[in-house]
Amino acid sequence: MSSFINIGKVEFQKIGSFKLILLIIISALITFGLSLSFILYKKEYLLSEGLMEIQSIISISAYFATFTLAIFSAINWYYLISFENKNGTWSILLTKPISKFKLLMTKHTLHLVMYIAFNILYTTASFILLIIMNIEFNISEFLKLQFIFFLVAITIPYSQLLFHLMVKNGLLAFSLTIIILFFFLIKDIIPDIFAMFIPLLNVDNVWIDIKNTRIITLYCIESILYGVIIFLISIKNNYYTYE
Amino acid sequence: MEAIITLSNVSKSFQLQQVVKNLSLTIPKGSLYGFLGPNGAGKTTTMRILVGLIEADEGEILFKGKNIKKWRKSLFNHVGCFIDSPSYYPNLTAYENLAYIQKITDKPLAEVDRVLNVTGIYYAKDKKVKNFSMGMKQRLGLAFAMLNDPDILILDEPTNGLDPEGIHEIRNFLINLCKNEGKTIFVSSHNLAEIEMMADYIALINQGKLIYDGKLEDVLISEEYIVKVKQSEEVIQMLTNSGLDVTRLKDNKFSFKADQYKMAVINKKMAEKNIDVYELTPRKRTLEEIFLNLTKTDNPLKKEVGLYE
Amino acid sequence: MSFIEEFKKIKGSGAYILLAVLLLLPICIQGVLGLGPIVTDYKYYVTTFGLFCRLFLSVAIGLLISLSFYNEYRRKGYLNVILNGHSFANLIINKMLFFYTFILVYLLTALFISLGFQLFDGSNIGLYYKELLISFSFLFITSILLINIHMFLCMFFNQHTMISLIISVLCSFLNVFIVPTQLWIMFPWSYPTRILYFASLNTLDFVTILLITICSFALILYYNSINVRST
Repeated sequence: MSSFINIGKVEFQKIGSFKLILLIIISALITFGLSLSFILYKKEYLLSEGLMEIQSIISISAYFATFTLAIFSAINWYYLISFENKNGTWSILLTKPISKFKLLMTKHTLHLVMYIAFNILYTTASFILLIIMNIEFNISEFLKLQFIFFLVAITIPYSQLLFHLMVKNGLLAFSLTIIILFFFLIKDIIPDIFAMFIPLLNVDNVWIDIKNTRIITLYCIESILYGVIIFLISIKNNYYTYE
Repeated sequence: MEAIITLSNVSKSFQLQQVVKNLSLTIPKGSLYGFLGPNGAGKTTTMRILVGLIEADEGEILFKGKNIKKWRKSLFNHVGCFIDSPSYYPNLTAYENLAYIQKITDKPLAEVDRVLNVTGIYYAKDKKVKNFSMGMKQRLGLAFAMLNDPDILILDEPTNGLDPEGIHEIRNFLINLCKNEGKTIFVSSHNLAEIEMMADYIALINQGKLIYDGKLEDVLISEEYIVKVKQSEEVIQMLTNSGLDVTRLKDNKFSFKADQYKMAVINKKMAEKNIDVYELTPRKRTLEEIFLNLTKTDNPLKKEVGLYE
Repeated sequence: MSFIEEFKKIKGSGAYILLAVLLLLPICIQGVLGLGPIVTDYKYYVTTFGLFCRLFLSVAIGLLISLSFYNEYRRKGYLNVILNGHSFANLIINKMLFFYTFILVYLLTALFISLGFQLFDGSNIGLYYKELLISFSFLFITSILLINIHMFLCMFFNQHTMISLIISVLCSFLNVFIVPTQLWIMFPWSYPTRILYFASLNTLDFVTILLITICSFALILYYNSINVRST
């Protein structure tokens, strides 16, 4: 366990702790800024439709958080995986007495830590947004909604990981982020029966019927399974050698 | 001599092109083994297979007699590698690059200073690697390989890009490691003179096939003898009558080819005739000559040194 | 026609496969989803091209140009040109011609695929071919503008050509929000999308787009002429 923490710490320092922390803060700030701008721009409409309540505001901020998360996770995987491809340093890492599994687990753990940090800051940003908008809310309900987002949004970074595994060049993989955005934008025209089974769209689907516990649980499980499957694919295959 | 690494019938293809064909090698313990071949012969691919960076399509690799289908991390406690071009994190300093490896493998940081000293880049330890010259990057690659004092070093063109002084330094360092510390070094190089100066054993591959492996001294010594005698004409006549081809050389010398048995007979005849022998030495070939000849197809020299078809 | 040789420079890097994905994915999915009586004729063309222009076109342009310049600047490919007696300015002009030709072929391919869906859906192209032609012509012009912008970015950030790609991705994201607003005229990456709805544009908008495109030509040619390539 201690060696895991040690490797994680060293990996974090190698990439640049300041860089990563700045990335999280900027992502959260951008989410906050976009959400606030949108809500202020559409304030009249939201008030008239009775949408100035916690669920709608959280779903709006989640919508923008999805975009920033897509870019944030692309950059994160670039530093964790594609950076090694770019520098050819897999040849050093794979020929030293360190378990490949441990190394990859550490990278995944570091990514999860960054994802959690992003969510913490995003939760803070949403909290501030609700305060600014003078919306009354129940803390437990707020935390529940944020936790649901945390679970379903895991599909986004793991979809990014797929791109980074398929395309060795990190910047080309980054350009495929547009595909994630595309699926979000066409979600409304995809028949619901198909949309339910595209894990990537869970982060949007979940807000449609937030009170239905069964459906929400299904989405959360589907998202976690998706993440686990991609994680298993990433550590099983030889994506990190010369071939 | 005890074999430390053995490759048996290793083959590898990339997209229908066979890059390594049924390669079998035995690397003796404590030897400095030179691995030679023209560009594109399959040297780097062989080395990558050896360290497990790519998997062979066929064949077996034995490490101390044990089969290693997949390299286990413990093996890399004994093996240091420098394959292909030097790899590093450009925005980190030399020290940070090496320290990163030490930290993730839980090894002492004092090693970093040692290898930086040994490879001659200690003075630049706090300089970012992206600002290093090619030679300095090469030395850093060597430093990575030498971390934690491995028993076996697998080095792919370690002196590439170094100045003559650097080449001399690294060569002497490798010879010292081998002779005095008993390390096994498997090194590939294009610099034949350098291999000739340091290797005990060599293997020569061409188009993925092994065409020679064995002791360096065996391949350098030829069956050609250079002779200088007082009674040259008499000896030349005697040799010509025996059916041997004699070539006159400068300085009253001449040469001819003969196996050791025939040579013994000629020696005896010269002694019987009281010939004054000033010089009688087997002609030593250069590695360059061997390399250039052996990598040509259908060369009779191949038969002479007992090549693999 | 030496600019055709530019095509071979990024062959084998996977760029053309990616570009094909960036074209086929939106057009085909939108084409399939738009089948039916709800959208027909010109609206169906807009449906198939909508997200392609909004999201994928600028990324495709950024990708093509960034990779092409990456080989020149980062891999020092341009040195071969200079050391054989040709000027860097000529290299840039060849690249420009290649990019324009490629994007034209790219857009035509997208158009043909879209027309295929339209015909399959039973649309009568004869009824709206004029609108189609006008829209497509301006789509090409706005693509030229984006090419010029990205070329300028690559030449300006010569050692960091991928900045151009990053900008294209980020601008695609921003397109989602900017296109429906009045701010679109200040954001060139939104022009290809707005051009699809050319009936809603006024003459001033068209003139602005044309003027900006002409200025972008002037900028590229001027920068090319003053740029002394240093190794």
